[in-house]
Amino acid sequence: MRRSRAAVVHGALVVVSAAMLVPFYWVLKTSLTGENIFQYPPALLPRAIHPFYYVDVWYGIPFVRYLTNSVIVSAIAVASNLVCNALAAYALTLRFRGQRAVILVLLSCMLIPFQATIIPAYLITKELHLLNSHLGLALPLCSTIVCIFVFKASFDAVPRSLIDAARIDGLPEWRIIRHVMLPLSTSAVATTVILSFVWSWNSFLWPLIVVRDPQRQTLPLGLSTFLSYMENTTGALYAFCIMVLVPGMMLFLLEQRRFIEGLTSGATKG
Amino acid sequence: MRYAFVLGITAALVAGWNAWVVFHDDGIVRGRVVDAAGRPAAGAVVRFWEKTLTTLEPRASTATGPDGAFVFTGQAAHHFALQAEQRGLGASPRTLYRRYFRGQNLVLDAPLRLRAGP
Repeated sequence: MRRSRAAVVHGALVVVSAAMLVPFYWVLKTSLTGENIFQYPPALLPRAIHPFYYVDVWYGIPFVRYLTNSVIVSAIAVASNLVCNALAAYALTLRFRGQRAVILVLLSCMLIPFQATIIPAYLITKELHLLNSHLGLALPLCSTIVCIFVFKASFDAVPRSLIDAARIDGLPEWRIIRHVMLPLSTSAVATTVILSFVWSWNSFLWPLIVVRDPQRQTLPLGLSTFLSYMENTTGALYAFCIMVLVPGMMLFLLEQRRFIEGLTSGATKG
Repeated sequence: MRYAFVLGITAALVAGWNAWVVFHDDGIVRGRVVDAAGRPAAGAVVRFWEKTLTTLEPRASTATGPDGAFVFTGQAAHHFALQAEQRGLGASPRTLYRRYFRGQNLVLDAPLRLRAGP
């Protein structure tokens, strides 16, 4: 009885997973065949597969430059997120006056969409003379509240006695974070790395506003430029989408176990 | 360990591919032109166009030898078109070809076949 119920549940999960993967499959299939996506009836299996749309993208646009810019911006965002969020989360695990109010303010700030703060963010970036720069592109994503709470949940799970022992041994606070908290929070680190990487990698609106120099364009901007060249580029366009997606997917697949651990840590007691 | 493995494999594939490209990117395109009966067409003019995202740009032309063979050298385009023409024998359809990388040396599988015009 229990086995048949598990089989039904697994069957349903397989169907749901397949339904969620269909768009990715379709993009991959179209990138390898270039077939008309409005064709009816649609062909489920690809025919006459070839990689030439990827070659077209590689040579048709400055892909390496876009890729390099995206990698630099994502690296800045990831490194900054790890440092800033770990420091903020550690501060929130300590007892201090107004701690609850700070947490409430941070949580309420999560309700404000980025689009609502984009003008002040632009003005600040301009005042810092960071427009058209990699640092300016990464600036709004240098610390994210979600990742602060991911770290906080993980740090809260570290026994207080361990932190007290480190203090008695004379470790300053930053070394407690570096040598005690972070090694015990690898899943939170992995979650922060993946989330900040994916957010900065896929960021479109902010780079569109702060970048005027084509030399500083990132992959999502390149994708929109490519789309504007001409309409009949279905195969090449989808090939470009796959090339943009692959690094993020590779990172997720490498760290998926820790990522899921990081998101669920603190969800249960004990 | 996983990172080292994945990055190592990726780096090895990229290095291998680039080494292959370096030794096979002279931009040579070889082929043959035949008439409607399949006989070699000597002295036919073969034109080479580069296919960009929007247009076909003329790049080079050459003439076939006594055996109908032709060769282009130093042509980098990864997507290009060829057409052969000979007075009295007509012209071949303009045919698109693709290469895996710029300047890949390529020998055409099928000859360009001349057809008498309308």
